[in-house]
Amino acid sequence: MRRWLEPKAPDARYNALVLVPLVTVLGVLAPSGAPAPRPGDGPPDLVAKAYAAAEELRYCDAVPLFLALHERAPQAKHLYRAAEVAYAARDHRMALDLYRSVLAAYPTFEKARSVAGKIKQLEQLIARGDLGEACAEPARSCGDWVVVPGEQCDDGNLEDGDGCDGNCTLSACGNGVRTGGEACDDGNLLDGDGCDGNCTPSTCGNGIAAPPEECDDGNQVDGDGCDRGCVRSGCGNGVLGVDEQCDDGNAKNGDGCDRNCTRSRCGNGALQSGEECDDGNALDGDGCDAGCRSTRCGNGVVTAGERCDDGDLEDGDGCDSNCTPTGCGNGIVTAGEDGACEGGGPDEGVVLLGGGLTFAGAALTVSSLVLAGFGAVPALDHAAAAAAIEEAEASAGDDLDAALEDARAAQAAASDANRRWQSFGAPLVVAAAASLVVGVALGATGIWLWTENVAPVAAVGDPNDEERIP
Amino acid sequence: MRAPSLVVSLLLALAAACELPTPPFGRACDAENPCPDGYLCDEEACIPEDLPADAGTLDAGP
Repeated sequence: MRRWLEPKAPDARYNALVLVPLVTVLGVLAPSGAPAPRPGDGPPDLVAKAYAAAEELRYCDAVPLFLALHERAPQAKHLYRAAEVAYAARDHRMALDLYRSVLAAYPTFEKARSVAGKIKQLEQLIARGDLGEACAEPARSCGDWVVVPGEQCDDGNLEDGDGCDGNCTLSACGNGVRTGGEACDDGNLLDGDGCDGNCTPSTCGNGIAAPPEECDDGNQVDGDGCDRGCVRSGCGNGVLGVDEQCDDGNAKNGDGCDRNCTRSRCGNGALQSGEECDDGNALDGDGCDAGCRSTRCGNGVVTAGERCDDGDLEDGDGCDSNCTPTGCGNGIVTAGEDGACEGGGPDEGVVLLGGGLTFAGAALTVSSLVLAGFGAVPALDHAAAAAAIEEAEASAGDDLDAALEDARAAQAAASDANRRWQSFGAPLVVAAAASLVVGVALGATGIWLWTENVAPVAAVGDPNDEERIP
Repeated sequence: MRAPSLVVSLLLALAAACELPTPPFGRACDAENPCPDGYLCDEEACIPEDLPADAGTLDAGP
């Protein structure tokens, strides 16, 4: 690290060799002779300060100022003047370094020839061991235009909010300096430590969600996703939101406001004490009936398949336990009814008997008709023979002999048919008629048994024939 | 066993009584089996009384 020495009073030789040319180089120094700042020359304050230091012969002080000026406004003349004041301060090594920097950075600099001469001169001095007087490193402070480690910036003042704050940090939230628009600035961007990362106090509504806040949308409006108190919009956050009937801040049912944020009552969809179920509606027969009782016989609500429902499963009270009106034929034996009245449902024996009778009757009827058909054959043969006789008689006037021959043959056939009719035809027909009567009677009995015993039970529970008995 | 046989006998009796009526023309006849009214027994066969005289081979009536 190069040491900076306080400038010494130049002797006559020094003045002749260095100061006079320097003054020439610098021109008329500030304030009396400082060149009028031109656009691009750098901050006017820094220009004035640098030239003032040189004018006051504080060369060692002027070096970093010209370097700071060069840093802000990179121009050959600023670097050259830094080298010149270093030369004036007799810090040979620093001056040599700076001159070399001038040539390196600005090879076409107008005073390049002079700079080259200075470099050669200084190299010779140093080669002889004449290092001159090294400048002491001055104590640096924020606001002196020189950016040193630990400083983000240095604008030559300690004003806040001008881009570089009084602590030589860039004007921004989190630099520890409260400037325009900042409600606080604790020097960091941490949230929840009193001053949040957006330089607002750690409070609900500052837009920063810090524990114990669930959210923070920067406002206190409810229902916009983050409600007052910095809790998320929703049922159970204690803030009444849109579409909520109530919100008591808990998820308990039956406390007046249920967990779905509806008032505690049957039909609000929240199961609570005293309810068997709650499907959120008052429809009956959908599994949970009005009154919040499960759809079933005996819940007091008449639904599909029930003809009545008095709310209990007692028999004989007007509406029996199968939800049919008390009475003969409803399948429940109650006072005043005998077992014959109630089969409790279709009697299998009766059903079988009825079906069997119906079948037997039908079979007998069919067989009787077949039998009658067989029995009628002789009668039909006789009718044909009789017709032949009458036909022969009609032709007797033309040829009696032939007609008689035909008539005799037909008479023989008629006699044979008559014999067969009397021997088995007629008995068959009579028996078939009797059998037909029996068959029809059996079938009718079977059908009657069916309709009287099966059909009435099946009709119980017909929703189209509901009889509401409370 | 008596009832069924009685029923069968009854049926047969009923059937025997139910003789089918046959037209008399050409029926065999004699003194014991005369022809019904309107027919006359001619050569042991019933023929209509009003048959024309020139019918067939029958001789004309007296």
